[in-house]
Amino acid sequence: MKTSDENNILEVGGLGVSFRMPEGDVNAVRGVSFSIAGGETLGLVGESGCGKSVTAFSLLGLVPPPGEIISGSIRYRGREITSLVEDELRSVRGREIAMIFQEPMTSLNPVLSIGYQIIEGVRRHFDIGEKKAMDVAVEMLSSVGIPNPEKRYHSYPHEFSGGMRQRVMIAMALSMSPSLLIADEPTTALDVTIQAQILDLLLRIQKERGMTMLLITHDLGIVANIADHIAIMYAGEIVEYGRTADIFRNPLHPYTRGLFDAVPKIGGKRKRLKTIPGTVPALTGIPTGCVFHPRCPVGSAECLESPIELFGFRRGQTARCIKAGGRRVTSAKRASG
Amino acid sequence: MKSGYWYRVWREFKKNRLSVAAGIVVVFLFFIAILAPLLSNDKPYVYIKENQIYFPIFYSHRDLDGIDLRKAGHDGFKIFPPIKYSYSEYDLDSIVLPPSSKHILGTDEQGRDIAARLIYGARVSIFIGFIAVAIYVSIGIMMGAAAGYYGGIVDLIISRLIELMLCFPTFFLILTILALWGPSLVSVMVVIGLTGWTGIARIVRGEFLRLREMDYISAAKAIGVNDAMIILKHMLPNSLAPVLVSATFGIASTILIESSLSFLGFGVQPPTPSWGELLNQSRDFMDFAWWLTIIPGFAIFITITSYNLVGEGLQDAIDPKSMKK
Repeated sequence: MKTSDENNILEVGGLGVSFRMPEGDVNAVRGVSFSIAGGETLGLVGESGCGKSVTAFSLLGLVPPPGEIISGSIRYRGREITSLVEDELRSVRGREIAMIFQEPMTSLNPVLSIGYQIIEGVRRHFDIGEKKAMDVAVEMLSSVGIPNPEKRYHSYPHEFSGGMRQRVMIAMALSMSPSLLIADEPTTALDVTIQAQILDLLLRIQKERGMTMLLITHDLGIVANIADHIAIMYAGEIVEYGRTADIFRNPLHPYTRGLFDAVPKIGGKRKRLKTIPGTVPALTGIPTGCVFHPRCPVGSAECLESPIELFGFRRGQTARCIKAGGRRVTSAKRASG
Repeated sequence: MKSGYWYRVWREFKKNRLSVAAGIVVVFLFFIAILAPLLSNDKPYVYIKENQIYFPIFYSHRDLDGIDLRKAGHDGFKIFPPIKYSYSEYDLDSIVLPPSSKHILGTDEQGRDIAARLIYGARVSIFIGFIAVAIYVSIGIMMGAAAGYYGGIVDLIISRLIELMLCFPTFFLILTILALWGPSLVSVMVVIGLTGWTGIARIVRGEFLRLREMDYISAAKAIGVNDAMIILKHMLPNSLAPVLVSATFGIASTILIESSLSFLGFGVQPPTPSWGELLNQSRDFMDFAWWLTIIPGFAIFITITSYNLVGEGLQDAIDPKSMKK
């Protein structure tokens, strides 16, 4: 894991998010650490319910109640997000860190025109009049590929298709020129052809603006094309982290290998797709020791003894597995927290 | 561009002919209420005499003071309103007369014209309905929005308060308060306003609880919109449709409550006419003067039915199952 670095826009260290439920605390995110260098893309990959979205929301200080950040630090350009008060957080949201959501069909308010929804943020963060904000919005709409933007500015969400709405969401997020864009499964709800268009759009805009991106997805195929680094999350922990090429070439954690085996391959022998046996543990009953051991093909008694730390390997790749391949470099200590 | 949410609601509403007809009746009654002094007045609109033009309804002309222009001896060009009587004008020579060409809906026991009192009664009844509902819708929205948006202890307190209010039989609560305050037009409106908000509060609370989980609320928060704007601009417009439906039914039931109160003598006090008060006055003559009872009763019936039909039409129109894209 990288230590503090001038180039890093975002550094998350030992983040823990817990939901206080009547049945007891649910520790949805535990000891998550990662960093993203300016202009790079980090792919955060994991199954549903592994804590990816909660991690994303905590970057904006928007963990839905009854959840709260209980430990760790989130440093954005050297500023500690977790210690900001609500007012300061609002000036970060949208302006510094923007987010686009999974479900374009429900992420736009049905009773407000899309134009209003775009300029709302612009006018909050920049001291400009409605007319100028409208120009910004129209320009953004045209740059995300909405035809006839002056006219569409006044349209309502129900007049757009899913892909078009996602474009509007992207325009909304980009209209405030944030430095960090969190894309929470931006293409999951879209058709495959539209997915490709939206990803191309995101890539193009990222290049044009030198924007940093945190791409959250469960789709390994998406991160392969876009991400510079990948963090694999399982049951609230990051189990593997590394450069995209390294992880694809040499996955170290058995869970990561399981994910790759579960993806159908083009070419090669036709055989039954492998699945990972068992199910993701309920977050109320997280196994002791390695969280993955009940489903692990290589697990043994020593995996149960104590929580597994992240071990460092070549070129900064880390994995939370005591059995992972021989060339272990260090026992990576967490950056902080 | 005409494509907003309310435009779609209107398009759905239009399909229900009965509700549209009821809506026309509602608007018609509303205009009667507003224009009451122009529809029923003992003065003419225009009076031209010896090259002098007077507008007695709109201005008070000193040289016409105390002169009844309807009487013989005041020649000249006169245009009178359809009903040539004011609501408080009595004529003891013509008491309890059945409908005739002189008094199209008859007269009451003091010789007052029923048509005039009915028109002014519409004004009082509908005015009370609107103001009282406006009061309780405002309270209900504030309470419900606070409870639904903030949740937790705020929700707990407001919800218990709502349950507390619901324990009282509203009508008797209103009667009790009016007995203490003394009956008047203002106290009827305020009391109904202060006791009626629970239904709206529950609707708005429920809507806010639902909306709070919506992605677009998270999206708005994620671009730095503050609580006040989220409540006012993002959540309230989305929860207004069921409030509007409930308010429409509320106006109907408020008119009914006001009529009941006035009938019992706890509402509007004579000589101010309201439909309930007209019914109250008719009690002693019910066995022979049918028009005193039937006519205000019919007015109440038509009004309540119209508001309820409009409410039902709106309810169907905002139902997402009926609303197509």
